[in-house]
Amino acid sequence: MKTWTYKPAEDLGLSVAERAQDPQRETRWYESAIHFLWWSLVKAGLRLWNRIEIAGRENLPTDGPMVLIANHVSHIDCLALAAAVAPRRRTRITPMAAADVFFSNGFISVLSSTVLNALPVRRTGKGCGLQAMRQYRKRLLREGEIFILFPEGARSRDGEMKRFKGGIGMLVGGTNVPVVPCYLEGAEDALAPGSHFVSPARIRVTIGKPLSFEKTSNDREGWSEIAEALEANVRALSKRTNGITEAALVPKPVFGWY
Amino acid sequence: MSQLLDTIPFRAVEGFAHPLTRAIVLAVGLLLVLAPLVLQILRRSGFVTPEHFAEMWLRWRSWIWLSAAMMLPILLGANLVAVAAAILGVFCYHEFGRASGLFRERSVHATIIFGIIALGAAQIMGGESWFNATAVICVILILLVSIPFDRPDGFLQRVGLGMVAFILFGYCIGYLGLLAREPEYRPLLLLLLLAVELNDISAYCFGKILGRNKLLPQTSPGKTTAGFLGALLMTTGLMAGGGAILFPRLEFWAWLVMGVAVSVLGQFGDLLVSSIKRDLGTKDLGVCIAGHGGVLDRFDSLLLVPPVMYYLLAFLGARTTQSMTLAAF
Repeated sequence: MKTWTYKPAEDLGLSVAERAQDPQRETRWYESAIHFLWWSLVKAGLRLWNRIEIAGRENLPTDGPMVLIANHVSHIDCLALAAAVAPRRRTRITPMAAADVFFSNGFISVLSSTVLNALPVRRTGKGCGLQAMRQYRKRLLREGEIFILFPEGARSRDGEMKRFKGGIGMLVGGTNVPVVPCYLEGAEDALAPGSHFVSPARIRVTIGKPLSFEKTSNDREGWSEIAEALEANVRALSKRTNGITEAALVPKPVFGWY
Repeated sequence: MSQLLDTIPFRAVEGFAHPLTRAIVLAVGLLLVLAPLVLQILRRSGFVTPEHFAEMWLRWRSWIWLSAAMMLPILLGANLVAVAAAILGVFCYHEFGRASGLFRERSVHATIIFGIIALGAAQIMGGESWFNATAVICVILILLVSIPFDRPDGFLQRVGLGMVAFILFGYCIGYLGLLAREPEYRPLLLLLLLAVELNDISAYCFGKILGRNKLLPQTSPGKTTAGFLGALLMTTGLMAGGGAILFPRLEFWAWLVMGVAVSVLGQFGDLLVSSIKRDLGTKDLGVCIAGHGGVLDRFDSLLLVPPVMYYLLAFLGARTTQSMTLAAF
């Protein structure tokens, strides 16, 4: 007879506020329902109010874990990327959100985790860096979720895309988790930094082909390669979206997967 | 909704009609008021350490809202007892599911939660026959629901855990709602709840004062034989006193049997959950009740009492909705 094995929830014994901030927390049954409802409402709202257009949806993997990355100019960026995810996978959407904004106190932490299913990313101080990214990497491989991440690290205030940081490399280097580069247009008009009202500006999401970094080393050199490759892909998508053909682009090495 | 609201008396005083109800509510209120004074005296006189005082203070604060949460549905209406029992069952199962890992088996997990809620609804709509029919259907559903997913690996574990969970947190706790269908359900349920909780406290106090021999050291290192026997004595006395007021036509031995049943079942409910925790390798199943742990840690003593009391009362002729006597066998 096979021995029974028990695997308690990773967040067992944590208080409500502690659990909200724990990278290994496991979704509860009612939270899945809330997430599905929330992301469905977001999609409906963006479609009606911002007439969101999504191109390249066929590039999204249909199953398993993945990381969606894009340029970052507005708080609405995450919602726009999430709107591209198929309905049956909406409960897997997991934005990685700035801890100083979305997890600044207990109440906001619980709200961010329960409604958005967000995970805190600390940009400074204790809990940021390699150790934290290892926790998220472990979670990504275990749970098979869809992470939403902005490798610039912060919103661009002048509209120009900044250099991608190596954190994305720490997350996926050496794994076969697909990273899907996307380009967002119109988000800064819809919800400018500092604004509290979403204006009815059109938002466009262009989804590129997914990349895999299974053969890339999981060290500083590999992380830089990953960040540079993804930045190049997002810039290529931006030029394509702005009407410049691919033939006019300077060819860059791409770690293609399919 | 109207059927639910119909049970709430228009005059709140209806909830306090029986003298035993008034006595129990008053006693609990007095205990909650006096407890902090007693704790302060114990602290100032040095009988308790500051750490121990802090723990007991936390427990007392939790008891304020726990007492209200337990008594209000009973005082307000019978159908609300069924609703409250279902909510309690869901909370208890939630903790068990997370501690055992059963929550990852989504089909069985959803079926158990559905089943606990369905049992509450069945009681309200159709009474005991609907309750038992719903229980049978839910048991069958738990057995079958994961088969279409074609994952035979781990089948017995998920179904076995699911059965334990549904029986304890759905079926057993659900009997609180059936007990609420008695005309004098308010004093009966309040007496049972008081007896179960005082049973716990008596076991602890007697164990601390007189306890030398461990009862079941592998399962629950804190429990002693003296605690077990002391709780048996106190609970039997309490039930005998309450039973004399509630069921005056019953013989004295019937009240003693009730008291022994509540005490033994209460302590075995505690040991049952301790066994589960030891097997899972966890100390507490939750943290939501300050000073007490989780909901299941607090209400473990209550798990086995309602179903046994329901049929014991019928056997003793104490229930007016149904009576089972020796002649019926």
